[in-house]
Amino acid sequence: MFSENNKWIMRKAAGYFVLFAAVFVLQTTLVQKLAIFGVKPNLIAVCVACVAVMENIYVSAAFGLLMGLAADILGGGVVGFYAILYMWLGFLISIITDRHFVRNKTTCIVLSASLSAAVSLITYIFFFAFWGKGDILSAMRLMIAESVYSAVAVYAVYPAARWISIRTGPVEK
Amino acid sequence: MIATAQQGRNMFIFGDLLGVVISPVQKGMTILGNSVSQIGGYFKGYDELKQENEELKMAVRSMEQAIRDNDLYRQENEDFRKLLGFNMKDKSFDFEPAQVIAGEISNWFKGYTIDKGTLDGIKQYDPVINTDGLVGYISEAGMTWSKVTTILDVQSKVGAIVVKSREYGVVEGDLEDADKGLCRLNYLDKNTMVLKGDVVITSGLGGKFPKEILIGTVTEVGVESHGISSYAVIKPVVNFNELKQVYVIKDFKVVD
Repeated sequence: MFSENNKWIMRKAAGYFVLFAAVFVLQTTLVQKLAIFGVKPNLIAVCVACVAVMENIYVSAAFGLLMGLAADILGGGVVGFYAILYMWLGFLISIITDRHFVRNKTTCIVLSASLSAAVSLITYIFFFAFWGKGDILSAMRLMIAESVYSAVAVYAVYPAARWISIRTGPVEK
Repeated sequence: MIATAQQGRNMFIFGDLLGVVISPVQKGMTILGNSVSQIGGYFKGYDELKQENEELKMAVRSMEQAIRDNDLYRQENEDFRKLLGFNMKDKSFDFEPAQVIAGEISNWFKGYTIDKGTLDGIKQYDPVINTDGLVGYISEAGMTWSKVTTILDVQSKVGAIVVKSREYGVVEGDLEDADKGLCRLNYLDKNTMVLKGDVVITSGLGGKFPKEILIGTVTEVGVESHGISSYAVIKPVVNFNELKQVYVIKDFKVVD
């Protein structure tokens, strides 16, 4: 019924949809209880980075778009803001990994922390700095704390993302 | 433009449906998380609970005395009001109890998702309180869920008054203070009379929030860097880390 390529896409889509749903439910529920000094890890950034490290640019961008869109809708913000942001960052991480990094946990840790910091910085600029709210020092403190915590969270997300990546078929560049 | 409006509506319906699907799962996970925390708490906090129990017994005794005193003061107050010709005003609220089912995705915004929505008569901008005081307002209402923006969020603005000095200001969230569970009372006079420990309540100005809802107490007073006005750091009476049950005020009016 489906060609081999379609089957590959279906398997990937199903696998990553489960990961997407699990991460969103965890981010809005159990992760709230793991906040340290009011800071919680950004599992969405971690998840997008881990998938982008292991997959090709199309899967990475599509997964980033899905995660960002859900963050826009469930976060009650401007629809499309995080969708576009995570899509481009997923796309970029996939390209950077392909050219400069090895696909392993260390890469995921470095890029998850970087992605989390980038998303935080852009959020600060567009939602706070432009409106004259929040001083840069407080923002930097929050950015660094979130990035470090997100890097630690890779240990929880990476095995799941890797398992899905391996079980749903090889990466097609 | 028409196409854009249609797309916006479609996106809202999609978001609403996503919320309808995901909110029962979030509710289940929150209940599970709370249960796990509760079980852990039994083992962790036995000594603390024992000590707290003793302190509470003492507090109950002093409160019983305070209630007796209050009855006396209330009666005196009513007598004085009658003498002065004031009418006692009675607040009339239409509440909708709701449970917190999810927290905010991002560290940058301070909000919650609750398990009631437009089907229960909740609308955007309805005030939200709990048994302690003001929580925030409804920033988005879906069919079976709503988003609450708390007073800690930088987007939140609440007209407030300091009970003792009768000074008006606006309670706003602050990025630096929000993680410590604090917010700010801004636009106070440069030579403000507000002191540490003063109680802050809603002023009711603007008609967004009912008046005389408890917000918190002043922990610090300072002059803004521009030197034109002062601010007070407020510790809200609501413990936002332990928020489980809230009440949405669907309708409110002051009745003579």
